[in-house]
Amino acid sequence: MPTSPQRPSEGPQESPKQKERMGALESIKAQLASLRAAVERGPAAPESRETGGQQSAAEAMNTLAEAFQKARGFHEGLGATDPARQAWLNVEQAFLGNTAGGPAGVEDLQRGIEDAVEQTDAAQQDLAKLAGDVADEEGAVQEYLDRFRLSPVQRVDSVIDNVLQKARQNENLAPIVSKAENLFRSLGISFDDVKNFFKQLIFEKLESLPIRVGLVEDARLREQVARLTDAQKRMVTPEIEQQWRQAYYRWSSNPDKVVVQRPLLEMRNGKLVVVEPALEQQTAAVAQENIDAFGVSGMRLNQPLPLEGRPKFYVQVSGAGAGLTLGEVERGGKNFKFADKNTPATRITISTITAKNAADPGQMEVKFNTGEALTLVQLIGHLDKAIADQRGGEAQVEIPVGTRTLRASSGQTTA
Amino acid sequence: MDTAKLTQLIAESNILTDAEREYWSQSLPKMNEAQLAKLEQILVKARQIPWTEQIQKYFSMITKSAKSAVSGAA
Repeated sequence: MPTSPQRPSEGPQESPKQKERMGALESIKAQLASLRAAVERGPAAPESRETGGQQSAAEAMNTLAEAFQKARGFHEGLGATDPARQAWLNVEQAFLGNTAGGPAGVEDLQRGIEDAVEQTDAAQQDLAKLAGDVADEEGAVQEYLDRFRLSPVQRVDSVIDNVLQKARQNENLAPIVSKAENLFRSLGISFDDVKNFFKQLIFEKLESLPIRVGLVEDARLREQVARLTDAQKRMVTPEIEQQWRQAYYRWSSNPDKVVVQRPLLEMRNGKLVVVEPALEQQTAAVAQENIDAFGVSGMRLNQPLPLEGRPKFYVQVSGAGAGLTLGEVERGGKNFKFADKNTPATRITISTITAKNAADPGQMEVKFNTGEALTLVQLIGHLDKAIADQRGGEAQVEIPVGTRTLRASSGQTTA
Repeated sequence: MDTAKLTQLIAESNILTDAEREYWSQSLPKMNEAQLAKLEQILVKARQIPWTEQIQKYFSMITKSAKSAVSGAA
């Protein structure tokens, strides 16, 4: 097997047709690289925790469909007798049935996968029934299923590995497979990426179908058990399994379920327990509602806190402290007061502040007595600019908020 | 029933794992004609499953494209 990728574009003399092919291949390569990136991001990427799994799978699927379209366009440009074109037509027919020339949409690909898994599972059931008939014993069907039934992901792996293994054992196919693997590698794609992509795709697709939940449930439980040590595995009692299945049912029945919140088997305080992240998050949110946000007495998440009668308090915004009271904001050693730019006699005060999350005080909403509002980080940004641009001892800045323009000044408030 | 044909079907089936292949190969002598016919029917039908065909044709396409691209670069 050659150790270095053999890139067609490195050929010494390319015909216009070859160049055209290479251009199309480069385009497909870019699509596949994007697909790979989507696969690598995975369902549990922190930055997409809320809906990450679904989004990544959807992105990957869209990218695959796009790559499919590119490949179709490329092969349509080949001569009618070109073997590559004929091979592509075979692939189209296998993937999409008789829709050659029609759109290769995401749903077409998903439907093909779904049908294939369903039929494979049906064949497995037929084999189990036949095994029961041959054994002629009560429970033989279930015994066969318990012994041999594969999860969807194992089935996918098994089929792919079977084909690959056979191809590698064939003296005619083996060198070609090696070259194909090199081509994949030169495109920056590893076959494991492709397999992982399909695994995630199939799992998430099946989990969205109530009729298939039972099938995937088994696979998910096996995944959880596989993560445990041998000693921990011995703690998986039928009761624990039952608890996990009930939790999985609760999770899968939620139409707004989030992939990363599937139930888990975890060790806590020396015991194996079933953890339901969705419930824990709800509990944490309730607990959060009862503590002082940013250490400010009485401040609750998403509840406006009136500043009238409240002493000045400080929070960290953009790396420095900011002091807040009803009539002024302290920043950089200066106390800013507010007035309406067009009616300077109208003194403007801060009516309420509202914490929007427990992590970032800059996202607090600052609402003025005239009704306008902006975030604290926006307000402080204006004040920092005023300090940076100040001339003499007074810093001033105009702050557009809604339909009004405020004037903030340190030292004294002027129009 | 042609058991040689069945043995080959079992060996080549993409829906069977190695463990299943062994199970069915060892079961053949215990099976009656109807059961052998049923097994043949299941395996022949499974050979037509689009998923299996997709994979085979996919690799066929990839190998042909690779052959074409590699020879084009030579």
